[in-house]
Amino acid sequence: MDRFEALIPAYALDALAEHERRELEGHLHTCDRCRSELRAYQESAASLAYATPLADPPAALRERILHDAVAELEPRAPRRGRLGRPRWIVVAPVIVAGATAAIVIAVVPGQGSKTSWIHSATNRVALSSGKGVVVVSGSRGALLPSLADAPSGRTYEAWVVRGSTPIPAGTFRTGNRPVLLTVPVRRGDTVAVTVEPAAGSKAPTSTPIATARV
Amino acid sequence: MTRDYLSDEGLAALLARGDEQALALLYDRYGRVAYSLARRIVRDGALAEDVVQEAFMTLWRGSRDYRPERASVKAYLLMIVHRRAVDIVRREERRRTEVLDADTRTEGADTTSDQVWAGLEAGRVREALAQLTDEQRELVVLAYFEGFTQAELASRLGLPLGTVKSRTFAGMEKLRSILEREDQWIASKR
Repeated sequence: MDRFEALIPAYALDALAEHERRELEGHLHTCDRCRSELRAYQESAASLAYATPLADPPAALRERILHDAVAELEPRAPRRGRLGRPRWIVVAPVIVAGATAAIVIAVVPGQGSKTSWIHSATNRVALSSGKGVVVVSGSRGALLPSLADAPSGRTYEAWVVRGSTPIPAGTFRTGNRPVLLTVPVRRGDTVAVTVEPAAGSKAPTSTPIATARV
Repeated sequence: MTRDYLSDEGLAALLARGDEQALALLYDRYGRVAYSLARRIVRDGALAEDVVQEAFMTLWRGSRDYRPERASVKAYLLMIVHRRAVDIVRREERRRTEVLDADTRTEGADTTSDQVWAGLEAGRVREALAQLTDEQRELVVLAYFEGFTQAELASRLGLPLGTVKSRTFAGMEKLRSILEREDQWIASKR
Protein backbone atom coordinates (compact mmCIF):
# COMPACT_ATOMS: atom_id res chain seq x y z
CA MET A 1 0.00 0.00 0.00
CA ASP A 2 1.40 3.39 -0.93
CA ARG A 3 0.92 6.55 1.08
CA PHE A 4 -1.95 7.71 -1.09
CA GLU A 5 -3.96 4.58 -0.43
CA ALA A 6 -3.39 5.11 3.27
CA LEU A 7 -5.14 8.48 3.01
CA ILE A 8 -8.27 7.26 1.23
CA PRO A 9 -10.46 6.10 4.16
CA ALA A 10 -9.85 9.36 6.06
CA TYR A 11 -10.55 11.29 2.87
CA ALA A 12 -13.92 9.56 2.59
CA LEU A 13 -14.63 10.81 6.14
CA ASP A 14 -13.50 14.37 5.20
CA ALA A 15 -10.98 14.09 8.03
CA LEU A 16 -7.70 14.79 6.25
CA ALA A 17 -5.63 17.89 6.81
CA GLU A 18 -5.97 20.40 3.98
CA HIS A 19 -2.55 19.67 2.44
CA GLU A 20 -3.15 15.91 2.48
CA ARG A 21 -6.54 16.37 0.89
CA ARG A 22 -5.13 18.44 -1.95
CA GLU A 23 -2.28 16.03 -2.47
CA LEU A 24 -4.62 13.05 -2.71
CA GLU A 25 -7.03 14.85 -5.03
CA GLY A 26 -4.13 15.61 -7.37
CA HIS A 27 -3.13 11.97 -7.34
CA LEU A 28 -6.68 10.71 -7.96
CA HIS A 29 -6.69 12.27 -11.42
CA THR A 30 -4.03 9.86 -12.53
CA CYS A 31 -4.66 6.70 -10.51
CA ASP A 32 -7.50 4.34 -11.43
CA ARG A 33 -6.76 2.08 -8.52
CA CYS A 34 -7.08 4.83 -5.93
CA ARG A 35 -10.30 6.09 -7.54
CA SER A 36 -11.78 2.65 -7.28
CA GLU A 37 -10.67 2.34 -3.64
CA LEU A 38 -12.20 5.72 -2.95
CA ARG A 39 -15.48 4.70 -4.52
CA ALA A 40 -15.66 1.75 -2.13
CA TYR A 41 -14.86 3.86 0.94
CA GLN A 42 -17.35 6.53 -0.07
CA GLU A 43 -20.05 3.88 -0.13
CA SER A 44 -19.11 2.91 3.42
CA ALA A 45 -19.13 6.54 4.51
CA ALA A 46 -22.56 7.01 2.94
CA SER A 47 -23.83 3.99 4.88
CA LEU A 48 -22.57 5.62 8.07
CA ALA A 49 -25.02 8.46 7.51
CA TYR A 50 -27.83 6.02 8.28
CA ALA A 51 -26.45 5.39 11.75
CA THR A 52 -27.75 8.76 12.92
CA PRO A 53 -31.41 8.91 14.04
CA LEU A 54 -33.39 9.90 10.97
CA ALA A 55 -35.55 13.00 11.21
CA ASP A 56 -38.05 14.27 8.65
CA PRO A 57 -37.07 17.52 6.99
CA PRO A 58 -39.80 20.18 6.83
CA ALA A 59 -42.09 19.52 3.87
CA ALA A 60 -41.32 22.99 2.54
CA LEU A 61 -37.74 21.94 1.82
CA ARG A 62 -38.85 19.52 -0.88
CA GLU A 63 -41.01 22.20 -2.46
CA ARG A 64 -38.18 24.72 -2.35
CA ILE A 65 -35.70 22.39 -4.00
CA LEU A 66 -38.09 21.38 -6.78
CA HIS A 67 -39.15 24.94 -7.26
CA ASP A 68 -35.57 26.18 -7.57
CA ALA A 69 -34.71 23.32 -9.88
CA VAL A 70 -37.58 24.17 -12.21
CA ALA A 71 -36.71 27.85 -12.07
CA GLU A 72 -33.22 27.00 -13.24
CA LEU A 73 -34.41 24.86 -16.11
CA GLU A 74 -34.48 27.58 -18.72
CA PRO A 75 -30.77 28.02 -19.34
CA ARG A 76 -30.21 24.26 -19.13
CA ALA A 77 -30.68 21.69 -21.82
CA PRO A 78 -33.95 22.81 -23.40
CA ARG A 79 -36.62 20.16 -23.30
CA ARG A 80 -38.31 19.83 -26.58
CA GLY A 81 -41.98 20.42 -26.90
CA ARG A 82 -44.34 19.10 -29.51
CA LEU A 83 -42.96 21.49 -32.09
CA GLY A 84 -39.64 19.75 -31.85
CA ARG A 85 -37.62 22.82 -31.10
CA PRO A 86 -37.44 25.20 -28.21
CA ARG A 87 -39.35 28.42 -28.54
CA TRP A 88 -38.17 31.75 -27.33
CA ILE A 89 -40.81 33.98 -25.96
CA VAL A 90 -40.44 37.61 -25.12
CA VAL A 91 -42.59 38.62 -22.24
CA ALA A 92 -43.78 42.01 -23.33
CA PRO A 93 -43.05 44.98 -21.14
CA VAL A 94 -46.01 45.64 -18.97
CA ILE A 95 -47.53 49.04 -19.33
CA VAL A 96 -47.74 50.19 -15.78
CA ALA A 97 -46.41 53.50 -14.60
CA GLY A 98 -42.66 53.30 -14.31
CA ALA A 99 -42.35 49.68 -15.34
CA THR A 100 -40.26 49.16 -18.41
CA ALA A 101 -38.59 45.85 -17.73
CA ALA A 102 -38.78 43.46 -20.63
CA ILE A 103 -37.88 39.99 -19.59
CA VAL A 104 -36.70 37.51 -22.12
CA ILE A 105 -36.98 33.91 -21.16
CA ALA A 106 -36.05 30.77 -22.98
CA VAL A 107 -39.09 28.64 -22.73
CA VAL A 108 -39.66 25.10 -23.38
CA PRO A 109 -43.29 24.56 -23.43
CA GLY A 110 -43.64 20.81 -23.76
CA GLN A 111 -46.68 19.08 -22.42
CA GLY A 112 -46.70 18.98 -18.70
CA SER A 113 -43.97 21.53 -18.26
CA LYS A 114 -44.50 23.12 -14.89
CA THR A 115 -43.53 26.53 -16.14
CA SER A 116 -45.23 26.79 -19.52
CA TRP A 117 -48.34 28.41 -18.09
CA ILE A 118 -46.26 31.38 -17.02
CA HIS A 119 -45.86 32.47 -20.57
CA SER A 120 -49.44 32.06 -21.64
CA ALA A 121 -50.93 33.70 -18.56
CA THR A 122 -52.44 37.04 -19.37
CA ASN A 123 -52.75 38.42 -15.88
CA ARG A 124 -49.50 40.32 -15.38
CA VAL A 125 -48.69 43.00 -12.89
CA ALA A 126 -45.49 44.97 -12.73
CA LEU A 127 -43.47 45.02 -9.55
CA SER A 128 -42.68 48.48 -8.22
CA SER A 129 -39.66 50.32 -9.66
CA GLY A 130 -39.26 48.08 -12.68
CA LYS A 131 -38.05 45.17 -10.55
CA GLY A 132 -39.93 42.63 -12.60
CA VAL A 133 -43.38 41.23 -13.19
CA VAL A 134 -45.82 39.05 -11.30
CA VAL A 135 -47.79 36.60 -13.41
CA VAL A 136 -50.98 34.98 -12.17
CA SER A 137 -52.99 32.17 -13.69
CA GLY A 138 -55.87 30.90 -11.61
CA SER A 139 -54.34 30.65 -8.16
CA ARG A 140 -50.82 30.00 -9.41
CA GLY A 141 -48.40 32.84 -9.21
CA ALA A 142 -44.92 33.35 -10.57
CA LEU A 143 -42.39 36.09 -10.34
CA LEU A 144 -40.30 37.18 -13.28
CA PRO A 145 -37.75 39.24 -11.40
CA SER A 146 -35.47 41.79 -12.92
CA LEU A 147 -32.92 42.07 -10.17
CA ALA A 148 -29.21 41.64 -9.61
CA ASP A 149 -28.35 38.29 -8.03
CA ALA A 150 -28.81 38.24 -4.25
CA PRO A 151 -25.76 39.50 -2.33
CA SER A 152 -23.54 36.75 -0.99
CA GLY A 153 -24.86 35.19 2.20
CA ARG A 154 -28.34 36.58 1.52
CA THR A 155 -31.33 35.39 -0.41
CA TYR A 156 -34.35 36.99 -1.98
CA GLU A 157 -37.59 35.84 -0.50
CA ALA A 158 -41.00 36.23 -2.10
CA TRP A 159 -44.08 36.81 0.04
CA VAL A 160 -47.76 36.67 -0.60
CA VAL A 161 -49.24 39.33 1.68
CA ARG A 162 -52.85 38.58 2.49
CA GLY A 163 -54.48 41.28 4.59
CA SER A 164 -51.48 42.24 6.67
CA THR A 165 -49.96 38.76 6.93
CA PRO A 166 -46.92 37.97 4.79
CA ILE A 167 -46.85 34.28 3.83
CA PRO A 168 -43.43 32.93 2.74
CA ALA A 169 -43.66 32.09 -0.97
CA GLY A 170 -40.17 30.84 -1.77
CA THR A 171 -36.56 31.99 -1.79
CA PHE A 172 -34.35 32.59 -4.78
CA ARG A 173 -30.87 33.90 -5.37
CA THR A 174 -30.68 34.40 -9.11
CA GLY A 175 -32.19 37.73 -9.97
CA ASN A 176 -33.34 37.19 -13.53
CA ARG A 177 -35.00 33.80 -13.69
CA PRO A 178 -38.66 32.92 -13.23
CA VAL A 179 -39.67 31.92 -9.74
CA LEU A 180 -42.81 29.92 -9.02
CA LEU A 181 -44.54 31.15 -5.89
CA THR A 182 -44.97 28.29 -3.46
CA VAL A 183 -48.33 29.47 -2.15
CA PRO A 184 -51.53 30.20 -4.06
CA VAL A 185 -52.26 33.81 -4.95
CA ARG A 186 -55.69 35.40 -4.71
CA ARG A 187 -57.04 38.60 -6.16
CA GLY A 188 -56.27 41.42 -3.78
CA ASP A 189 -53.07 39.82 -2.43
CA THR A 190 -49.82 41.71 -2.63
CA VAL A 191 -46.68 39.94 -3.78
CA ALA A 192 -43.54 41.32 -2.17
CA VAL A 193 -39.83 40.59 -2.34
CA THR A 194 -37.37 41.12 0.52
CA VAL A 195 -33.70 40.39 1.06
CA GLU A 196 -33.24 37.83 3.85
CA PRO A 197 -30.46 35.82 5.51
CA ALA A 198 -29.33 32.87 3.39
CA ALA A 199 -31.65 30.38 5.07
CA GLY A 200 -34.72 32.50 4.33
CA SER A 201 -37.07 33.75 7.04
CA LYS A 202 -40.47 32.81 8.37
CA ALA A 203 -41.45 36.47 8.49
CA PRO A 204 -39.81 39.34 6.63
CA THR A 205 -36.86 40.88 8.42
CA SER A 206 -36.48 43.82 6.06
CA THR A 207 -38.54 46.26 4.04
CA PRO A 208 -39.69 44.94 0.65
CA ILE A 209 -37.56 46.00 -2.29
CA ALA A 210 -40.48 45.45 -4.64
CA THR A 211 -44.22 44.90 -4.34
CA ALA A 212 -47.16 44.32 -6.66
CA ARG A 213 -50.87 44.12 -5.95
CA VAL A 214 -52.54 41.34 -7.89
CA MET B 1 -46.66 8.25 -14.64
CA THR B 2 -44.48 6.49 -12.14
CA ARG B 3 -40.77 6.14 -12.39
CA ASP B 4 -40.33 4.77 -8.94
CA TYR B 5 -38.94 1.55 -10.35
CA LEU B 6 -35.94 3.33 -11.86
CA SER B 7 -32.53 2.90 -10.28
CA ASP B 8 -30.77 5.93 -8.82
CA GLU B 9 -28.45 5.96 -11.77
CA GLY B 10 -31.39 5.81 -14.16
CA LEU B 11 -32.89 8.80 -12.39
CA ALA B 12 -29.55 10.61 -12.60
CA ALA B 13 -29.62 10.18 -16.37
CA LEU B 14 -33.07 11.79 -16.41
CA LEU B 15 -31.78 14.69 -14.31
CA ALA B 16 -29.33 15.49 -17.05
CA ARG B 17 -32.33 16.02 -19.32
CA GLY B 18 -33.89 18.48 -16.91
CA ASP B 19 -36.49 16.08 -15.52
CA GLU B 20 -37.59 17.50 -12.19
CA GLN B 21 -39.69 14.42 -11.37
CA ALA B 22 -36.48 12.44 -11.26
CA LEU B 23 -35.13 14.96 -8.78
CA ALA B 24 -38.29 14.61 -6.71
CA LEU B 25 -37.85 10.84 -6.58
CA LEU B 26 -34.22 11.12 -5.55
CA TYR B 27 -35.28 13.59 -2.87
CA ASP B 28 -37.89 11.12 -1.64
CA ARG B 29 -35.21 8.44 -1.43
CA TYR B 30 -32.41 10.47 0.15
CA GLY B 31 -33.79 13.78 1.40
CA ARG B 32 -34.46 12.40 4.84
CA VAL B 33 -31.04 10.85 5.40
CA ALA B 34 -29.35 13.89 3.84
CA TYR B 35 -31.22 16.21 6.18
CA SER B 36 -30.60 14.01 9.21
CA LEU B 37 -26.89 13.82 8.47
CA ALA B 38 -26.60 17.56 7.92
CA ARG B 39 -28.56 18.31 11.09
CA ARG B 40 -26.49 15.88 13.09
CA ILE B 41 -23.33 17.69 12.03
CA VAL B 42 -24.37 21.35 12.03
CA ARG B 43 -26.86 20.99 14.93
CA ASP B 44 -29.25 23.47 13.41
CA GLY B 45 -32.37 22.70 11.41
CA ALA B 46 -32.32 25.79 9.20
CA LEU B 47 -28.63 25.41 8.35
CA ALA B 48 -29.21 21.73 7.65
CA GLU B 49 -31.96 22.65 5.20
CA ASP B 50 -29.57 24.99 3.39
CA VAL B 51 -26.98 22.23 3.18
CA VAL B 52 -29.48 19.75 1.74
CA GLN B 53 -30.85 22.28 -0.72
CA GLU B 54 -27.35 23.10 -1.92
CA ALA B 55 -26.50 19.43 -2.29
CA PHE B 56 -29.58 18.62 -4.36
CA MET B 57 -29.05 21.70 -6.49
CA THR B 58 -25.43 20.67 -7.03
CA LEU B 59 -26.67 17.27 -8.16
CA TRP B 60 -29.23 18.92 -10.42
CA ARG B 61 -26.83 21.40 -11.99
CA GLY B 62 -23.98 18.94 -12.32
CA SER B 63 -26.05 16.01 -13.51
CA ARG B 64 -24.58 16.09 -16.99
CA ASP B 65 -21.10 15.73 -15.52
CA TYR B 66 -22.11 13.00 -13.10
CA ARG B 67 -20.12 9.82 -13.69
CA PRO B 68 -21.72 6.68 -12.26
CA GLU B 69 -18.42 4.82 -12.33
CA ARG B 70 -16.95 7.35 -9.88
CA ALA B 71 -19.62 7.13 -7.19
CA SER B 72 -23.19 5.96 -6.73
CA VAL B 73 -25.77 8.74 -6.63
CA LYS B 74 -26.35 8.06 -2.95
CA ALA B 75 -22.65 8.23 -2.06
CA TYR B 76 -22.14 11.30 -4.24
CA LEU B 77 -25.05 13.17 -2.72
CA LEU B 78 -24.20 12.30 0.87
CA MET B 79 -20.57 13.19 0.21
CA ILE B 80 -21.64 16.68 -0.88
CA VAL B 81 -23.87 17.01 2.17
CA HIS B 82 -21.12 15.82 4.49
CA ARG B 83 -18.44 18.03 3.04
CA ARG B 84 -20.60 21.13 3.15
CA ALA B 85 -21.81 20.44 6.70
CA VAL B 86 -18.28 19.82 7.91
CA ASP B 87 -17.12 23.07 6.27
CA ILE B 88 -19.76 24.90 8.25
CA VAL B 89 -18.84 23.46 11.64
CA ARG B 90 -15.17 23.98 11.02
CA ARG B 91 -15.75 27.58 10.07
CA GLU B 92 -18.32 28.46 12.65
CA GLU B 93 -17.26 26.20 15.48
CA ARG B 94 -20.90 25.53 16.15
CA ARG B 95 -20.64 21.91 17.02
CA ARG B 96 -19.67 22.04 20.66
CA THR B 97 -22.16 24.59 21.83
CA GLU B 98 -25.49 24.21 20.15
CA VAL B 99 -28.25 21.89 21.16
CA LEU B 100 -30.53 20.22 18.68
CA ASP B 101 -34.02 21.60 18.61
CA ALA B 102 -36.26 18.75 19.57
CA ASP B 103 -39.30 19.63 17.51
CA THR B 104 -38.72 17.31 14.61
CA ARG B 105 -40.27 13.91 14.54
CA THR B 106 -37.59 11.26 14.55
CA GLU B 107 -37.92 7.68 13.53
CA GLY B 108 -41.68 7.81 13.54
CA ALA B 109 -43.91 5.36 11.71
CA ASP B 110 -41.91 4.22 8.71
CA THR B 111 -44.49 3.84 6.05
CA THR B 112 -42.99 4.27 2.63
CA SER B 113 -40.71 1.65 1.16
CA ASP B 114 -37.90 4.21 1.12
CA GLN B 115 -38.26 4.66 4.86
CA VAL B 116 -38.39 0.95 5.49
CA TRP B 117 -35.23 0.58 3.49
CA ALA B 118 -33.60 3.39 5.47
CA GLY B 119 -34.49 1.56 8.66
CA LEU B 120 -32.84 -1.63 7.43
CA GLU B 121 -29.76 0.27 6.33
CA ALA B 122 -29.58 1.91 9.77
CA GLY B 123 -29.65 -1.48 11.48
CA ARG B 124 -27.06 -2.84 9.12
CA VAL B 125 -24.56 -0.05 9.66
CA ARG B 126 -25.07 0.01 13.44
CA GLU B 127 -24.34 -3.70 13.58
CA ALA B 128 -21.26 -3.19 11.45
CA LEU B 129 -20.08 -0.37 13.71
CA ALA B 130 -20.58 -2.60 16.72
CA GLN B 131 -17.98 -4.99 15.31
CA LEU B 132 -15.25 -2.33 15.36
CA THR B 133 -13.06 -1.99 18.44
CA ASP B 134 -14.15 0.82 20.77
CA GLU B 135 -11.11 2.85 19.77
CA GLN B 136 -11.77 2.45 16.07
CA ARG B 137 -15.45 3.24 16.42
CA GLU B 138 -14.79 6.35 18.47
CA LEU B 139 -12.49 7.78 15.82
CA VAL B 140 -14.72 6.94 12.87
CA VAL B 141 -17.79 8.38 14.57
CA LEU B 142 -16.07 11.54 15.82
CA ALA B 143 -14.56 12.19 12.41
CA TYR B 144 -17.74 11.56 10.45
CA PHE B 145 -20.41 13.05 12.70
CA GLU B 146 -18.49 15.78 14.49
CA GLY B 147 -16.37 16.86 11.55
CA PHE B 148 -13.03 16.65 13.34
CA THR B 149 -9.88 16.33 11.28
CA GLN B 150 -7.40 13.65 12.26
CA ALA B 151 -5.09 16.32 13.69
CA GLU B 152 -7.94 17.70 15.83
CA LEU B 153 -8.78 14.20 17.01
CA ALA B 154 -5.17 13.57 17.99
CA SER B 155 -4.99 16.66 20.16
CA ARG B 156 -8.50 16.20 21.55
CA LEU B 157 -7.94 12.59 22.54
CA GLY B 158 -4.29 13.03 23.51
CA LEU B 159 -3.12 10.45 20.99
CA PRO B 160 -0.18 10.55 18.59
CA LEU B 161 -1.35 11.53 15.09
CA GLY B 162 0.07 8.29 13.71
CA THR B 163 -2.16 6.31 16.07
CA VAL B 164 -5.25 8.24 15.02
CA LYS B 165 -4.41 7.61 11.38
CA SER B 166 -3.75 3.90 11.71
CA ARG B 167 -6.84 3.30 13.88
CA THR B 168 -9.07 5.25 11.52
CA PHE B 169 -7.68 3.31 8.60
CA ALA B 170 -8.19 -0.04 10.31
CA GLY B 171 -11.70 0.93 11.44
CA MET B 172 -12.80 2.03 8.01
CA GLU B 173 -11.23 -0.98 6.35
CA LYS B 174 -13.17 -3.26 8.68
CA LEU B 175 -16.40 -1.35 8.21
CA ARG B 176 -16.02 -1.54 4.46
CA SER B 177 -15.31 -5.25 4.48
CA ILE B 178 -18.33 -6.00 6.72
CA LEU B 179 -20.68 -3.90 4.60
CA GLU B 180 -19.34 -5.28 1.32
CA ARG B 181 -19.58 -8.85 2.55
CA GLU B 182 -23.25 -8.24 3.37
CA ASP B 183 -23.81 -6.64 -0.02
CA GLN B 184 -22.46 -9.74 -1.68
CA TRP B 185 -24.61 -11.95 0.49
CA ILE B 186 -27.68 -9.91 -0.40
CA ALA B 187 -26.76 -10.00 -4.09
CA SER B 188 -26.34 -13.79 -3.99
CA LYS B 189 -29.83 -14.19 -2.50
CA ARG B 190 -31.51 -12.24 -5.27
